[in-house]
Amino acid sequence: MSAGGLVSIYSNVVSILLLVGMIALVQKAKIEDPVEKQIFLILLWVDLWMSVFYIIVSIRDEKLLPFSHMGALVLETVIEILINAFVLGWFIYTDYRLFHSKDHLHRNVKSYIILGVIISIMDVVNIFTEFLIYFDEDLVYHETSLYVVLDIIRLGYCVASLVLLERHKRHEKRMKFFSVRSFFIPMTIYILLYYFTPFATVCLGIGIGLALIYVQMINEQCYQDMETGFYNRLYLSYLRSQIKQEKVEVSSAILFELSSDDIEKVSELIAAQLPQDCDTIRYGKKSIVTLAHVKDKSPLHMLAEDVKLSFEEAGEEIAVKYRLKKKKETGAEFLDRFLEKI
Amino acid sequence: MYYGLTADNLATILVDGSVIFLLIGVIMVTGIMRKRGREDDRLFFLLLLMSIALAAFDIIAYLADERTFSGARIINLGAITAFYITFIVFFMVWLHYSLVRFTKTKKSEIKKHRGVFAPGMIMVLLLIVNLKSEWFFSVDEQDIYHHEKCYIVMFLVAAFYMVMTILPIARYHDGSDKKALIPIWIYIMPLVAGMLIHYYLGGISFTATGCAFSVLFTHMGSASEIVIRDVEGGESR
Repeated sequence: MSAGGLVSIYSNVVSILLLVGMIALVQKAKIEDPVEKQIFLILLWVDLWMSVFYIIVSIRDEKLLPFSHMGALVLETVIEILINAFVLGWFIYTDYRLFHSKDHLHRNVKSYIILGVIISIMDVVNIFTEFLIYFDEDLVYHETSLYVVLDIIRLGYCVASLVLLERHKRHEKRMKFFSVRSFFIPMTIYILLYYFTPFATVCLGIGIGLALIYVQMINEQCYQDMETGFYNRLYLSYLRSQIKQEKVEVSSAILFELSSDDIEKVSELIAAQLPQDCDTIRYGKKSIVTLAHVKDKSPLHMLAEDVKLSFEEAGEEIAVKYRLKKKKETGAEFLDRFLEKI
Repeated sequence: MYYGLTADNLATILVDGSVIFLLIGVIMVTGIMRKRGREDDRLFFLLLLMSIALAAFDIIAYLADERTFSGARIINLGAITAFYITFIVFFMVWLHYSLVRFTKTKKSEIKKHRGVFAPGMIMVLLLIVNLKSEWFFSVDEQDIYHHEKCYIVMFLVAAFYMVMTILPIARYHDGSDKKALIPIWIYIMPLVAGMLIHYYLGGISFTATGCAFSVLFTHMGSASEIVIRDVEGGESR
């Protein structure tokens, strides 16, 4: 067997083992959002089937089993459709991860999937016309110049998800631990490896990316308030220890006291105004604390005003208390003084 | 041959490289957990480092395997010895981690039963002696690796620690919540698969990958069970 074939088979077997283990664990895991869990599971399953079909392709390429011309085309089409499904699924996952809204997803899903469906139909038509990919008499795989259209659309989905993440950073309330951007690092490395070597290791790269996202997801859950999506008091304990050790600076703090019973809605209003360099913690049933680590006092003062304004516009009530760290006191003393008064 | 490497060696090197890449990523994203200062988090970090070391020693051994450059045999022998020592120590740390994480065993209790770590320590000493005696494995003058007559002993020691890990956990859960044991079986599987493949197919090494997946699955399985909630603003676990 050639080095390329053996490496491809071995890496895809490893990918399958990783994905099977993850699927079993994710299915059992207590993930707060069932929709997010479902989309994540679909991504795992698609990558798993891609790994399986890449192994069959490697077996075909090594001529370990006889394949007909049509069989080879159908096999390649299945892989192409799975790749389309993955990039589309990834884009949908990014959207849901940012907005956490089924309504938002339902409103936009048709426009999201249209290109994915078109290129999948092109893949199916290719079985009969061979205008994108074809096999010669020795069953060697070839791409026509039109194939670049598929690559561009797939790349477009990936770039669009990155743009979406960049444009809506603020919706990622818990930016400290979780960023779906980290997925792109292994995926890009393994795609480059695939382009420059005969090793089909892309599925393993995707599996590694998904594993990293899942580890971040469960870590984050430990420090997350389920209802608001902000940090919980466990995180505040951690943050307090960091401030005491002077690893983190705190310059000012805001206390938001809510009146509304719809905590999810009002937390969205606060989240929409938050700058990036602050930590927001659900402190009590109806109280939320934001700590700023910047030395300049103006941004947090403005934030308090912005939040008040957005609540007025939404017809909600909120009480905002704003405190600045005194020059003589340490960060830990300031935090204790601030929390004592709550 | 690809860059002077056999297909088997190349496959192992690439997959071990991927494992190192994955584990470095896990170390980076779990940094926040280590800051909690808990012993199980520290042990988990140690297991991650040992898995990286296993994969790295594996890569070095496979890079030097069947090569003709000067010192290749010494590098190969040294890397394989370091690999097996790390492999045995990995199981000992894993037992400690399981006791702390799953059965909440206190440090003082573990100290009372430290005799359980004796087989591992003896095995580590024997592996150092093996550099001269060649009881477990050898590397011949052509730089080719061979299993020797006592080779299975290393895997029996590893299997002993695996059983020692499962028993207290099974007793701790006492059959009341069998679903809670599912992650344990999931993390045992890659280890067993890795060891069997390594034992029967010397050409391809899956041990480092199996160990890495076991650590990763253990973390994924158990961390999702420990849901720390702050509903209604109260800190609870």
